[in-house]
Amino acid sequence: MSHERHEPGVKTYTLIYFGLLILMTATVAAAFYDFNRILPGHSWGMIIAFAIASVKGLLIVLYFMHVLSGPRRAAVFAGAGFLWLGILFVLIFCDYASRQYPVNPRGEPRYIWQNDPANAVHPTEQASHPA
Amino acid sequence: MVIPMSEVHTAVDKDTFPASQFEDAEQQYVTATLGMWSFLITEIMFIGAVFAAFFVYRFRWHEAFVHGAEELKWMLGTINTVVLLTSSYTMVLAVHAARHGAQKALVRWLVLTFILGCAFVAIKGTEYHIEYKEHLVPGLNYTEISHTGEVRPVQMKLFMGFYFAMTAVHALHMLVGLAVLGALIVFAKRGSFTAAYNNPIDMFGLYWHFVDLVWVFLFPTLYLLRH
Repeated sequence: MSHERHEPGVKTYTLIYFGLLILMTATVAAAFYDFNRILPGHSWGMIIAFAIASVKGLLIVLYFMHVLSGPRRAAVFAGAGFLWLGILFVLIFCDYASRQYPVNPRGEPRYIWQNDPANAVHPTEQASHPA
Repeated sequence: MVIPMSEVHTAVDKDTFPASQFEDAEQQYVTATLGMWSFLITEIMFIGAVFAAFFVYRFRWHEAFVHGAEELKWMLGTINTVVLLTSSYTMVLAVHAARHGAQKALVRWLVLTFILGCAFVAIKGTEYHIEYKEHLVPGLNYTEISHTGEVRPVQMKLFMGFYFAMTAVHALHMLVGLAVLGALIVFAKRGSFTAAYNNPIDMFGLYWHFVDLVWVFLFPTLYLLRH
């Protein structure tokens, strides 16, 4: 090898593994408690679950997938992948959060299957959402 | 021209390593790593879009999706998470053994990874079976009244659709991984990998950890969002 790779040893891997198990236990435990009762807002369960999942994911990517110790170019590739994932999420959720899409009671867009009685638009609703 | 199996072994890459188009072993390793990550990025984009769709519907139909999560078997999901995290650990030890040319340890860790992978698929199958018996499979036998007589919210069917699509795609990746892993075990036993040449083990490790990574996010998304 032309370059010495400073890869982690068995001890580091074992530590990361136990770290992952502890985080997993924490996320399962947290799922059974309703954090919205003690904290303002209403999405704390999701925020906590995904904060823990992200830390677990980061440990796997950085240590098990050798992004820290491997070639720097691989780290750039991996970073680019997750950056695009972030763009996908941000744009999609901004779009849905800022618009009202008319849906029927089954959650399907109302403009498909127009003969379906579930797609009937209530007159008052039509007044508030002109086509 | 048919190549006899006995010659396939001798034609393994380690004898022609690094391949003629590369400057040196390091360049071949970096190229392989970038190729694998390019593939994994397409996987991130693909599964990421499904996650995005899931959350768009979850924000819209919060109650129904919470009800759906409550009908899943969180205990089996947790056991499967432990199994998969452990298999990632044994896989990284296999990569470590391969890099140090420890052939016996390599085979041992690969076989352990294989067993854990099979265990994951078996537990997932058990879960599917239970869900089938509880009439939770859209398109097969989904009912709007549960086996305990409870009325399921209308949009819970959508949740179950996401659940089966996401976990089945994940399980398919596990099966593909197990097939490749089986082949790698055979090659490792034949001594195809050395301290100098172990790129296939390394690249498979990336794939295996990625499948684990997807599960790390699938597990809370489907099973744990109960409020």
